[in-house]
This record gives sequence, structure tokens and C-alpha cells, in this order.
Amino acid sequence: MTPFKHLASGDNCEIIVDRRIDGETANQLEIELISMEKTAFNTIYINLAACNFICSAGLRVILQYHRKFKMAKRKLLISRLSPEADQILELTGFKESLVESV
Amino acid sequence: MECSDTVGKSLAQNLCKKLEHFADAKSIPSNLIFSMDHALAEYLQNLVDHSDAHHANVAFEYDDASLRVIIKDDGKPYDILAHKPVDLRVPFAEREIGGLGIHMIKKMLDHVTYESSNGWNTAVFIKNTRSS
Repeated sequence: MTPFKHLASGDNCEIIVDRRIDGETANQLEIELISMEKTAFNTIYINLAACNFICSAGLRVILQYHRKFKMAKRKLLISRLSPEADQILELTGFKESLVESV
Repeated sequence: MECSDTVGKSLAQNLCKKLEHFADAKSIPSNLIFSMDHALAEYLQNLVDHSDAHHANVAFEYDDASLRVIIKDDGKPYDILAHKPVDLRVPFAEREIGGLGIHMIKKMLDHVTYESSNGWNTAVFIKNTRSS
């Protein structure tokens, strides 16, 4: 059981992250994405509108599962961003490849 | 303000909370804390994961010019300034997964120093009050 809420719509599912992505939350996010691998959703979005902290462990999880989903011809993308999350994704070079509006 | 902790799973969480309390007490602008919080958390997590350190001491200083955090630990020396930078020109799909934490530290701060002597490593993180 992870602490994240979901919004499913057709082929898509959005994971709402409403807290800091620190080391512990990064582990929970990985568990969440492992469970999403077993679903039929084509695109998984991570909503960071209420997230103001993302550690490198969280970024590594996102990058790793972005690649796994891509190999399975599915997508893992970021949907909404807080200003802080936007800044982190920009300075680490993640934004251009991962951000898409829902 | 100075504080110390044994190096364990909760080190980053505990000392970042202390930074938060220091920021509240000194009314430090949120953009400075945003950067320092991320940098401190990354550095301390590296200590936990890789250094075999037993103790970490952290001092917080703030004045008109800058916010400074001085971190001392008794673990294996690892000069973050010598770490190979992440190359953001590499296509995202081929990017190395490691090194993001140190990249964030360097990008989010204005000045970082590191030295190791007599069994103690000292990192100094500086964020200028006038930086964005």
C-alpha cells in the first residue's frame, strides 16, 4: 500500500504525489510504478503539482521507469508541476523529455 | 546554530528539519532554503549510503550576505568537487543514472568547498542572499 492517490481515465492513470519525494518516498514511488507495470494503462502520469522537493533518488526512479515503460511501448510522463518541481526538473535536464500536460 | 547526529537512515531527514527550524527562526527567504534543503539532503544521503561515517556535525550560519552550512563527518573522504559532472547534452534515453545528487548540489549552490584532514571531512555550502 503506497500513500499516493490515483486518477484513472481511459488508457491513462495519474499518480498524485502530494509530498516531498525524499529517499523514503522514492522507494514508495518505485513500489507504485512496479504495480503500474502490471496494469493495462498505456500512459502513466506523475502529478507533481503539490510536490516541492525531489531528491536524486526520486529522479533516478522516474528515469529508470520511464525507460522500462518506453521499452514496453508505454509511457511514463510528468503531468502538472509545482514551481519547485519545475526548477528541479529543469536543472537536471528532465523537463524536456518528461513533461506533458494532461 | 550547531547540531550533530549519528550517521543512520534518518540523518538527512533529521538535519534538514533542523535547517527548517533555523530558517523559521531567522526568517530566511524560501528560495535560499529550497536550494540548501536539497543540497544538504543529497550530501547527507551520500554520507549514509557510501561513507561509513559514524558522526556528522552540521552548523548553520546566516547573515546579510549568505546562508552557509558547514558539514563535518568522520567517514571515508570523497571530494564531491572532483566528481565527473553530469552531461546534460547526452540524450535523455542514454543518460547515466548516477551522479544526479552531486549535480544538484553544484547547480543549486553558489559556492562549495571540501577538505579532508585528521580523519574529518568538511564541506562548506554557500548560497548568496542575492542569488536567484
